[in-house]
Parts: sequence; C-alpha cells; structure tokens
Amino acid sequence: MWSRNGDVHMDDGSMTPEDQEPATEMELDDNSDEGSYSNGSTSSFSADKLSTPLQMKLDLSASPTRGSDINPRVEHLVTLFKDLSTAEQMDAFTRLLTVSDMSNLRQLRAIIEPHFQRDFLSCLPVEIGMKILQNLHGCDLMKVAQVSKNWKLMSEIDTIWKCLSDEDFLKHPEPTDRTTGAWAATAMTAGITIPDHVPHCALDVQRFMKQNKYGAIYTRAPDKSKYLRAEKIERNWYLNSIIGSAILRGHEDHVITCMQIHNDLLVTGSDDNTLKVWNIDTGSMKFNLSGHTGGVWTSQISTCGKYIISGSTDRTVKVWDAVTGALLQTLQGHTSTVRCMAMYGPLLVTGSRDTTLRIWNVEHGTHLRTLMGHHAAVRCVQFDGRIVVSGGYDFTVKVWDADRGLCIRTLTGHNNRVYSLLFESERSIVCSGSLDTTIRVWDFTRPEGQECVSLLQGHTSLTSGMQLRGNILVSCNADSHVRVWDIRDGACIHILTGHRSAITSLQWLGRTMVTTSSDDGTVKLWDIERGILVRDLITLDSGGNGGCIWRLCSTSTMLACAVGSRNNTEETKVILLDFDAVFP
Amino acid sequence: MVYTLISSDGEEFRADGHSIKQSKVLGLAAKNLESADTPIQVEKVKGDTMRRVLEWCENHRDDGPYVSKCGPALRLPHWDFRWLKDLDNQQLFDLITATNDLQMRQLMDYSCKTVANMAKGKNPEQLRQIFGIMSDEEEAELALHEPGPSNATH
Repeated sequence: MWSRNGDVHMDDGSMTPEDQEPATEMELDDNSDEGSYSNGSTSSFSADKLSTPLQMKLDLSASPTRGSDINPRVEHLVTLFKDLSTAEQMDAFTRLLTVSDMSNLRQLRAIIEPHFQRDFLSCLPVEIGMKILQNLHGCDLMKVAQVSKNWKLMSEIDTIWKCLSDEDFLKHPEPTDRTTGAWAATAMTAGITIPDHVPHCALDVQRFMKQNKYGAIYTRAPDKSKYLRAEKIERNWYLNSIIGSAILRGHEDHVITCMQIHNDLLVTGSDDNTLKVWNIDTGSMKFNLSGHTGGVWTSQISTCGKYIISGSTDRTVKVWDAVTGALLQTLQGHTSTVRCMAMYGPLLVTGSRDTTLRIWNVEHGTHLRTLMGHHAAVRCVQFDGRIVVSGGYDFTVKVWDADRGLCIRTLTGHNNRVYSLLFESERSIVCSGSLDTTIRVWDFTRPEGQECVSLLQGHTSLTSGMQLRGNILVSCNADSHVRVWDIRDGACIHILTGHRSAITSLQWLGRTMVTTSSDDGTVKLWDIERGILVRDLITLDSGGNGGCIWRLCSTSTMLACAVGSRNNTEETKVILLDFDAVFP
Repeated sequence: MVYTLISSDGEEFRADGHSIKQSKVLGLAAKNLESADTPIQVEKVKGDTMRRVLEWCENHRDDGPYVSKCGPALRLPHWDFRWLKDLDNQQLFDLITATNDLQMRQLMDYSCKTVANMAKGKNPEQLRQIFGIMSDEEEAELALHEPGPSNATH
C-alpha cells in the first residue's frame, strides 16, 4: 500500500523522454567503453563504504581520454564548460542533452544511475539494516536472501525472523518420524486410492530425508528455518506429493462414531462399545478401552492430556487414564444415552437424550450440577468454563451459567432440531446448525429476543460441520456442498461443489485450506479464498457403493480419516496422511 | 528559545527548542549549553541533511509521545509518506544515518519503513537494480578483470 515506485528514473527532468528525435550531429566523442577499466581507477578508489566496485567501474572523475588521444575540440569544450557558473552548466547540460544521440543518452544514464542507488545493507550499520528488514514479510526476506552473499548474511540474522508478524509458523509441533508401524505399509492398498502419493520406490528416500530433523539453516538461523518449514508444510498440504500414509484397523464392521486427537494420541469411539487409543507417530494401537455396555457415541480428551472421557448408550460416562488405559471413574446420573460432551480443564459437561445436561469434575469423579430446561434430547454442547451452550431436538439453543446452573438465554428461531453448535467465547457468538437447513448466528449479549445476528440460508439439508475464524464461517452439509459465509451480513461468499453425496465433516487448516470427508468415499482439499477444489486426497473404490468417510480430524501436519461402510463393502479403519516436514 | 545549529560542512541553522527536542542528542546538547547564544556543533550531519531533519522536526513539533513500532503495525502519516518518497536513495540513507546519530526514533522508524517498502514484493533481480548491487556472479567477473596493484597500466 505504501510501496515506493521501484523504477529508477532520474527525476530532475534533465533526461529527455525516450521519444525525443535524434538531433543534428554534435560530435561528442564516445568514450564510454565499458570494457576498459584500465584508466587508472586507483584515483577514484575511496575509503568510503559507499564506493562499491560499481563506483570504481563507472567513475565520473576518471578522465576517459587519458593518454595520447587528447581530442583538442573536446578539451576546448570542457575548458569553456568549467568556466561557467553552476546554473549556466545546468543550462548547458540541458541544451546538450536535447541535441544528443539516444545511444549516448542511454550510456549517460548508465553512468549516472548507480550514483543514486545505494546498497543500504552494506552502507548502514548492521542494526539499522536489521531494523529495515524487520518491516518485511517472510516471503520478501526470502527474496532478499537471494540478492547477494552480503544480503543473504543479513537476512539470516535470526532476530529479524523472530519479529515477523506472521507468527503461525512458530506453532507447528516437532518434526515426527511416522515411518514405523502402520506407516511402514502405507495406505496404498487395494480399494484405496491416494492420487498424489509418492510411489513405493520413492518412499525409502523420503524416509531417509526425514531422519535429519534439524538441518544446516536451523543451526545458523533457527527462526528462519522454522519459517521455511512452515512454508514447506503448507506446500505439502496444497500440492506436494504425499510422503506418508497409514491404516489403523479396528472396530471391524462397526461404525466409528467419534474421533479425537491430542498431541500424539488418537482416540476412536465406536458402536462396538469400545474406544481404541492409538499412537500416531508409531502407527500402532496403545490400548483398547472396554467396559461400556452400550455403543460409545461421544468422547473427549482433556486439554492436559491425562484423561479420556466417553459417553455411551449405556447412560454412563467413563473416565479413563490416557497414560495407562485404566478406567478411573464411571459417572452415573443420566437416564438415557449420553450423546454429546464438552470439557474445560477438569470440568466436563454432558448432554443426554434424557433432555438434561450434567456438569462433572472428572478428577474427583463428582457430579456438580444438572441443567434442566430442554424439552427434548440434547444433541450438541459447547463449554468455555463459565458458559454452557446446548442445542436440542426441541429446536432451541440454550445458554447456561455453569456456576449457578441456570439458563440465562433460550435462543429460539429454528424450525427443526438443532444438530450442531459452534461457540466463540471471546465474542459471545454461537452458530447453530439445524435440520431446518439453516445456520443461525447468535450474539447472546444482545437484548433478549434480539440475539440472532444473521440467518445463513442456502443449504438444502442438515449441516454436519462448521468452523469459524474471524467473521468467516465455513459449513459443510448433507446437501454435498461446502459454503463460505460472512457472518456479519449472512452473505454466502463461495459455494464449493464436487462431492457427490452428504459431507460428513470438515477441518479448516492454515489460512485458506479446508478438507472435507463425505459419504461419497472421498476426502477433498479446497482453497476457500479462491473458492476452488484443490485436489482429492483420498478416494475409496467402494465410494458410491457404501464406502464412506465418517469423520476427519487433523493436526497441522497430519490428517486422520475414519472410514467404513454400513453394508460391509468397506472395512472399518482410520486412514492417516502425513504432511510433515523437517527443519531445513 | 531559539538555538543555532552548525552542520558538519559549516552551514548555520536556526531552530527552536520545541522542534529540536525530537532529537535526544540535540535536546541534551541544548540543555548543556553555557549560554543560549552558543551554537551547537552537529559534527556528523551535513547541511542538506540537517535542513531536512529540521524540516521534519518543524512539522512534528506538536506531536504527542511516540511509541516505537516496526512491521505492519507501523503506519506512516500522510505528510511523512510523501516527504520521504521524494528523497532519492542517497538522501534517504544520509537521513537514516543522521537519525541514528541524533537519536530520533520516530523519523528513523519511518525512514526504515520507507526503505523496506522499496524492497517489498520485488524479486532478487529487481532488488539488485533498485539498490545498485552486483550479483555474486558479476562481482566475481569484475574481480577477474580488475587491474590490481600488480598490473597497473601506466
């Protein structure tokens, strides 16, 4: 926005425009033979740092006619010239230039220009050079590094990278192995197509390169290395060949109903009454959590990573130790299926078909509150530690004060069951997806009855997933479309088509990438800024015949897809894709 | 209070205390003068640059306190943006060096940002052109052909 014109014209008007017609000959001796540096340029060498070799090459003070070829006519002219005042000299220049040959003018320009260009990184003290570079983005710094050896050195001063405002690049977890266990076999197997997977023959090289996790640049300039790694990871998602994949098999013939990731742990819950805990990096199963006497339909992993929680049709909530797999608590109280849950610290909120929500402390195994008010099953819940937001089959969204156990708002407007919720605590914003096909955006700090900020209409079926960043909401729907909305005015910015069947879940990665899973048996990657399909990540051969992808979970470097079918055309499993990169 | 400032090349300037307080160095020098008439010698700054510095100070004399920033958070005011845009590279660099010597945080931030903006969105070849830098290949070429002390032609 503030960019200064990069052209290097001389602005003082004494240069003639390109279309000036060449005038009558005035013989200016053409002495600017650029090849000859032999005119004793030692006289022009100055200790001033501003004199780069360029200065030596094109020194105005060195006489081009030294030696035996003195041209008396030129000498005479120069003598006369020296006698003029500065203003008169300027006049003379102007007149001379207007009668000069175009090629002479160009050569003159080449001589004069360098004097107005200054290599700031070499001329100024290092601290000031750094100060200038700190104003640049990572992509510009990368260009700076390619200009010259000196500039490259400057660009690698790590402090500059530390100050970069684009900080997301610092957030990636440590580079991983993902070469053993299920990763060794990859997911390239009959029935599964991963279009951009590197071929088997290239796998060894990829795995070898992963071994050096901290490369040469990391040693010289760690933050620059982090930046480069983040760029590589983004390209890995967007267009590079996929370098690693794995299949985690389990819950045969049953449905994977819920999936969670916490650091290196992946937890899957199923209607086979169990949960399985997997180690992502080693591609292996850690525990099988059995004990429920009914299907598991919801699960959570505590933010501290110590507890795995599960809710079941057996009406109980079980708390498991994530490290040992031991059952720690069984929380009783609900009188029907526990269908949804949300956690904050040690506090757990569960929602049930029995129309109530309950608040528990999982560390102590104690029941704290029961939230009553819904007239039908509670289907979805969100919690920020103070406020509980719940959605139910009674078409309403309720906002509760967790400490007092009281309902502070009932948000009405939907014409059918509410199936999904999104809660942004900072702005007190709630987004609800309903069987009435709409998404409603609420701000519950507004006066009662006026909480609905926007009504997002356009989908023609039930919304299965939503994610919000700033004022942009991305939703996926059983109508097979992804929609990108601005929640302030309800405008639909993009409609992304491509899936052939209901979309089951979505994950928003990076700044502009979204992955979706569908009943059509594919996982697709979209660019929601440009509004296009980027590529298919996974395709099941049984897609369209029963094979479907139920759910996606991701980290910044890995995608997990829960896969199966309801008619035994596809064995139940989790497919993992690796998008990691090392520190260069 | 009006002070006299003398640049490194002997040019004299008059500026009042309110203006020159933008520079920590000048402000301090003014405080330590024996008498208000004693001129302040500004040894490191040439006349042209001094003139510009004072012009900027005059324009900013009524500014409130300044919090140093850099990067996208730093936005140049309209006047400064235009004023700095008009300088050629040499003048800009002299100005930056002066702000360093005179400890003028705000003008230094603005000037550095101006230089950075020249580099934004440019590829390496364009950067070389704007800043008059030889690529490493060209420099190596030049080194090959340069007359060293051992092969002077006269």
